[in-house]
Amino acid sequence: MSETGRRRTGPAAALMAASLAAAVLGACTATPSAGAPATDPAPATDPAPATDPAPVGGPPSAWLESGPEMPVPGVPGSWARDGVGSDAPWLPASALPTVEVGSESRLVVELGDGLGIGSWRADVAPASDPTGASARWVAGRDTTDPPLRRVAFDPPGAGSWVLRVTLGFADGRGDAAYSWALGVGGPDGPGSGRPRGP
Amino acid sequence: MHGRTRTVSRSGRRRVGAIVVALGLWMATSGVADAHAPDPTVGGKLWAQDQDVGYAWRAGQAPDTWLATAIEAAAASSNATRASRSARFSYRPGSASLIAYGEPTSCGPAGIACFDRSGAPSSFRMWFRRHGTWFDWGQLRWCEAPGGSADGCFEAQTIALDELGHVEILGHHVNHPDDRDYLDAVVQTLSRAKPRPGWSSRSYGVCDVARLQLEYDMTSWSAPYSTCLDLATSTALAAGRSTVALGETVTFSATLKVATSSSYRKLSGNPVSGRSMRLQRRLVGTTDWTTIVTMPGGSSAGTYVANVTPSATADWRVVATPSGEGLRSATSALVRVTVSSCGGSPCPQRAIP
Repeated sequence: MSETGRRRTGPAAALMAASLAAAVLGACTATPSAGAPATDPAPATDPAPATDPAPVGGPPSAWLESGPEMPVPGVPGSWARDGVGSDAPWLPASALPTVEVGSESRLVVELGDGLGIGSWRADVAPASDPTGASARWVAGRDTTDPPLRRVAFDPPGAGSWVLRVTLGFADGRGDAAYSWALGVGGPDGPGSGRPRGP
Repeated sequence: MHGRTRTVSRSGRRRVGAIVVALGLWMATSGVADAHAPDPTVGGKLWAQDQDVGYAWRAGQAPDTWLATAIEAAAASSNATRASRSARFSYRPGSASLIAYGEPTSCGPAGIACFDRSGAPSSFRMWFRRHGTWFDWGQLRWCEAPGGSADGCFEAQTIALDELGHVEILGHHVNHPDDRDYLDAVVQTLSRAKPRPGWSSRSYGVCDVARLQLEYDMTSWSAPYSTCLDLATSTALAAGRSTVALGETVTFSATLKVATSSSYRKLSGNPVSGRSMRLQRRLVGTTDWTTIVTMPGGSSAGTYVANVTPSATADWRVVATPSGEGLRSATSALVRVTVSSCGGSPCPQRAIP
């Protein structure tokens, strides 16, 4: 993962983009009969692959911005897209890059590759909580329209946090969760008036 | 790798503020999300209805006995609680679908398990990380593994059910902001460890089932719809005769269907049998409705029939009141049946053949 945060595309992203065209959700209309729901004709099956498919590339990258500094990529946790996916637990602060912001900053998150965002939510838990048991919702929406290029919300109060943002892809083909360690200072800037714990 | 720190200055904040304003409609602002809906879909083709999908262990990556047992238990749970015509899973050596334990996997760097259903409806892949694997977030412990049951472990059977839900078609459930509906779905973005609520699940949640029903249809026309659904219904009433003489019998026929909507997927227009259908009467000149009979089921799906001997001219309707499931009530249009006061023969109001 880039230390500078400049790189927003790469092999993984290209692989993901190439996979976008692969999936079409089948849908047929059942014709009711007297006794039981009608049976769809069995879909055509292809010969089983002889080997495992190539490893999937993972979700698109997501970036957290809050000022003139370079955006910071989030660490992906669980994600699902176009029929592939991975499940993960809450990621603790020790596993995450830290972003320092002022309490009056605005946090902005966007997906790489220009992907739109549908539903989304942001949760925070104190950095001292390694399992996210005390996580709480801070912002989000459950609708998918209109698609968003980015989402923005206020930071939690001063302290050290884990920020987890779950983004549903606007094309309806999956979602992904991204996490950052977040240090929120006082209104005068990062680190000002910020206690070491929330 | 981690521990990088980015600092935002005060002047930077001002610039960012201007940028944020300029972004206008592209920006989303904080708001209250209120979700309770069927799981989304994860993409890819559906399996056939009730398709028997076998799976086998990937050569060289067969799970330990404790994990194999957990996976097979999860498959049995999926089959038993799908409440739909989604695919059924069973262990069958030689199957095209493969489940693997340990490296290599296709899981993300933080992932404890993962799936690939892009081969549907022919095959799927599933991977489980090895017990004891160290991640940036800590060490993975599967609860069923020897010595693995302490708090903080992940139950393999629950995670396997989550992955099988993905393989069916399910995406991660969108929870209420306070997560009070976390237990309404096994297929979750956040895998919970013991002892957090939901760490151990033996069945699909109602919002998992809702999506399976939407995509794969019901097991029968009388089966209950998931309470995670909120489907409109439509009902219609017809009387066998619109005019009868006093003492004669009228046959009322009603139908109950799920309303027609593209968003209802496979469930659109489904006939609905075995529900409470109250036949009600309102005498002409009055305003009160009286339930005369609860209509029993007819000979075909979604139909109800009752024979009634009206005592006076009245308007009739049927009120469908499904309860404890994801169907809304519905009321039919009115049907008037005129009752002649003449019950004798010959009757001057009767048509003479």
